[in-house]
Amino acid sequence: MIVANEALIIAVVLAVVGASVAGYIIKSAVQTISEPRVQAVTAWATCSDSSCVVSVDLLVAGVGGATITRIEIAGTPIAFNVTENETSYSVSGYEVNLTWDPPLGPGRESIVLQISPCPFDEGMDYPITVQGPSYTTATTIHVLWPP
Amino acid sequence: MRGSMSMEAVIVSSAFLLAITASLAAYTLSVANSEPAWPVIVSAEATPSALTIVVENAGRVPLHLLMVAYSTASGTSVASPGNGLSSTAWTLAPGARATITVSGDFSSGASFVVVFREASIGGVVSP
Repeated sequence: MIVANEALIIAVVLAVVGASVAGYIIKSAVQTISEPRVQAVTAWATCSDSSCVVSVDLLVAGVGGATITRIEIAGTPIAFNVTENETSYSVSGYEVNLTWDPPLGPGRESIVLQISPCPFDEGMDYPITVQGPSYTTATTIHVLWPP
Repeated sequence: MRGSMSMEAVIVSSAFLLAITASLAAYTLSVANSEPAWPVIVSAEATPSALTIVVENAGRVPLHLLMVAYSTASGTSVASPGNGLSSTAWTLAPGARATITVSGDFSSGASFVVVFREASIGGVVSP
């Protein structure tokens, strides 16, 4: 009987430990697929003296989708408090129109900014940072000018 | 007592199987979301009447064409469906090509960005 009780205790302990480990793994798995993670892949800009268009390619993971709260180019805020209904900004001396389809993802998404006047100098590439409530990601804008 | 131990073993095994299944599902979804979207410009030609761009989908996910932004000596504009943009295909399967045409005077050349919903690609074309 003593042996049987010890076996029962061991079984219960094993079950609790096993369930805890399994619960941790399940929790991690659920977080993996539910928390939005955004990565800026690349960006392109086509420019003239008066204005430019910037396309930013994003990779969004997570089933819940993601949103944008702030965009900076070379450290200068270009758009912030980004919402679905507010996509035009007059900030830092620039007029900015943002085209996107919120929320982002999951998957690959391109967002497009039309900026006037053009903030870029010819022959240079610029960093762009996209921020959300729980992420910050950056990439380089490849700036193109007509010949 | 053997019955009790078997029941516990079943519980533990089921929990681990469930955890493994969830992990595999998360991994599969993660991999699916990270498949590269990779448009490539095959050729581009600028004429006094149009800008013609041949694009190939070199990635592993379909691409959906949204717009072409372009700059010339006279400024920067955006062409979209119904607004100066035409294409032989609006959705490119992996490996497929499309010929995209933007109407306008491109006699002095242009820089451009082809924007798909999933990715974008830029280029410069001389006259």
